[in-house]
Amino acid sequence: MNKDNIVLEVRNLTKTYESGKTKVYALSDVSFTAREGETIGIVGESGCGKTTLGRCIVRGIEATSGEVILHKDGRQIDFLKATKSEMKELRPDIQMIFQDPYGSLDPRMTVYDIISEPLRYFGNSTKDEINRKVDAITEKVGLDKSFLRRYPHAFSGGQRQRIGIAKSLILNPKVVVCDEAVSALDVSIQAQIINLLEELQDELGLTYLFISHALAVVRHISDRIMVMYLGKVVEFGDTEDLFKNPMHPYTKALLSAAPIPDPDYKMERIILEGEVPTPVNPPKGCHFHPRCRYATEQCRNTYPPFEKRNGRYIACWNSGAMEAE
Amino acid sequence: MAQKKKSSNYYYASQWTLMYAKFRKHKLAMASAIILIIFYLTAIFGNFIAPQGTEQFDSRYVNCGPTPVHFFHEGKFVGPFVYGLQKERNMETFMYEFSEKSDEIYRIRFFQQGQRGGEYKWLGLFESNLHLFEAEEGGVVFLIGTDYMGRDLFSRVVLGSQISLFIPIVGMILTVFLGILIGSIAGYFGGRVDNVIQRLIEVVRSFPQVPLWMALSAAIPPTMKPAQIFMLMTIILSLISWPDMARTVRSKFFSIKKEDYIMSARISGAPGSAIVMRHMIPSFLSYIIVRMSLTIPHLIVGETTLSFLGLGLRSPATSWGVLLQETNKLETIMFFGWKLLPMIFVFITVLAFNFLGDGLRDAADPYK
Repeated sequence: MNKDNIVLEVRNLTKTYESGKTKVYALSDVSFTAREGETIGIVGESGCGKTTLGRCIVRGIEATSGEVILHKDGRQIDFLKATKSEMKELRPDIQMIFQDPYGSLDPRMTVYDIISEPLRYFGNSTKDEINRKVDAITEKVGLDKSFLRRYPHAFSGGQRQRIGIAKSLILNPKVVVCDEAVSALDVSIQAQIINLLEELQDELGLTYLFISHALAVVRHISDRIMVMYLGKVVEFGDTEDLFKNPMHPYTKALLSAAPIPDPDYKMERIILEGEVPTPVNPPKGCHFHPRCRYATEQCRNTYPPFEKRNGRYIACWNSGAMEAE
Repeated sequence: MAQKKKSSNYYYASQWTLMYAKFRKHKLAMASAIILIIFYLTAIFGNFIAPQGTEQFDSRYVNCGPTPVHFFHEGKFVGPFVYGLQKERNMETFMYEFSEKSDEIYRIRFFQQGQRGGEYKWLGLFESNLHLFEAEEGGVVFLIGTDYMGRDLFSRVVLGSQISLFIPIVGMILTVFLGILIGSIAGYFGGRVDNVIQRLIEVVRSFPQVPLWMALSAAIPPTMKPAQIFMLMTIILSLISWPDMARTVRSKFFSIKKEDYIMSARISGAPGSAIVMRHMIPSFLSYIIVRMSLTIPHLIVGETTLSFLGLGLRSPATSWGVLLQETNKLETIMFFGWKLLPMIFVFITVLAFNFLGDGLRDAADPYK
C-alpha cells in the first residue's frame, strides 16, 4: 500500500433534479482525489449534498455530469461512463455501506444470501468458493457463523451494520463509501463499528469516503476532511489542520457548533443568521454570503474559485482578510 | 428453555413462516380458511355428496319444503331417517302442501348407489353412481327443499358450487395477471407510460358496470355451453376489475424502488431483472395474495348478480346465481321461503373470503 497512489478521482461531479422549469442543484462541480488507504471525511449540514455525492460516486443514482475516474493497474477509467464489460470489472471496486441498517438488508433473505448476493453477479465462483469467502468475511467483521442461516429481523442494529459491511466488502473493493455508517447506532456500538472499519482498512488497504454529520467521529477517523455547503465543496484539507485552523467562515461556524466534552470550556459559538438557502434558487455569488459576516460586494456577485491556499483547498474571497483579523 | 427454543426458531424463521404464525393468531381468518376448504372439497366431491344429478327431477315433489331429518321415533333412537310425505291441496290458497306422515319411516342410507339419472363421471374420469346419502326406497330427503320442477335444492347448491367457486378462481388469476402486468409496466417505467396507463385505468373505472355487463352478455351467443358462457362472463368481470390490482402493484413498485436494499442490490451489481425478481416481486407477493383472496368474493357476487338478473347462466345449467333467479318474484319468497337458502351459501363464502383476506392482510407484513 502506498499512500501516494491515487485510486479515485472525482471531476466536476454535478447532479441536478429538474421538475418543469425549476432546476435543483443537489451537487455542483465537486472535484477531489482520494489516495489509497486514506479516509476522507465529508461533512456539512443536512441537505448539503453529502449523501447525493456518495450515491453518485457509487452509481446508486446517476450523476448529471462529471467524471468518477478509477485508477486501476495503471489505467484510468471513468466509472460513470463504463461499458457493460468495464462495469463488470469495476463494479466490485467501489462499494457502499448504508446509513440505515434496517432498510438496507432485504428482510426476506437470510444473512448468508445477503452477504453472498454480490458474488452471484461477479466471477464464476463455485459453491465451495462462495462458502469459503462468506465464512472468511463473516469472521472478519465479527459475526458468528451460526448467524448465517438467520434472517435480518433476528439482529440488533450493530449486528445488522456488520452484515451490511460484510456484504459491501465481499467483493474486495478498493473504495468504500460509508454513508452515515454509524449515525443510526448508539454511541457504544458506534465505537465498535468505527474500530472495525479502521481494522478492516489497515488489513485490506481500503479507501473510505466517510460521510457524516458527527464531527467528533469524522475527526477521529479521517485523514482529510471535505466541508460541503449547498451542493458545493467549500473547504478541503488535512483533518487536524482544518480543525485547528478553519479558514472558510462556514467551516468556522460548523466546527464551533460541535460540543466539547469539558464543562469548564467556554464555547465561543458562532451563531449563523438566517436559514440555509434552498438549492432551487441559490443566492447569486457565493452561496454562503447571506449568512456570512465577512461578506463583501465581491461575495455577493461572483462565486469564489476553489483554490489551493496554504496547503488547503478553499472557496472563499476573504480567507486572507480573515486571517489578518 | 422452552422460551429459548421458541426465540431461536424465530431467528431462523423465513417470511412465510412468520406470516403463517401471525395468520394462525387470527381466529376468524383461520375459521374462514377451514370453512372454505370444506366448501371447496364439497364442490370437488359434489356429484358424490349431492343426492341428485343436475338433470334429475321429480314432478311429485314440486315446491316441497325442507324435510327434517329425525333421529328418534316415538322416543326410540332409530338413527337418521325421514318421514314419508303427504301431499294435500290447501283449499284456501289452492296450492299443494306437504306434511309428514308420522307412521312411514324411511331410513337414510349412506354410501348407496343412487337412483337412475344420478350417474356421474367424477372429475370426468371415473363413472359412478355412488352417493353419500339417500333415503330408503320410497322416501325422499330434501335438506333445503325443492324448486318449481321438483329438483333437490341442496343437490343444486352443491353442484352449482362447482361453477360458482371454481370459475371465479380462473377470473381471479386473469385479474391478477392483468393487474400485475399492467401495474408493473406503469411502476417500472414510470413517467409517460405510467401517465397513459393511469388515464386508461380511470376510463375503465368510470364505465357504469351493470349496463356494461348487459351489453357484453348480450354479445355472448346463447347457443354456447354453460361452462363457456360462465367463462366468458368471468373474463368480462376480470376485464373490469383489474385496475385496482394494477394500481396496487404500481404503488408498490414506486415505494419499493426507493428502499435502500434495492439500491444496495444495484450497487452489488444486480441486473434489473434480478432486482425485480429477487427483491421487488417477493416483497409485494404477500400483498398480491391478499388482493387475490379479496378478488374472489367480488367475482362470486358479480356472477350471482349477473345470473340473478338473467344476464348470465340459464337453467338447467346451475350456479348459485341461477338458483336465486327463482326468487325474483315476491310470491316465491312469500310461499316458498326456503328458496332463499342458497343465498346463505353465497353469503358465507363471501364473508369467509373477506375474513380470510383480512387475516392475510394482517399477516402480510410480519416485520411491522
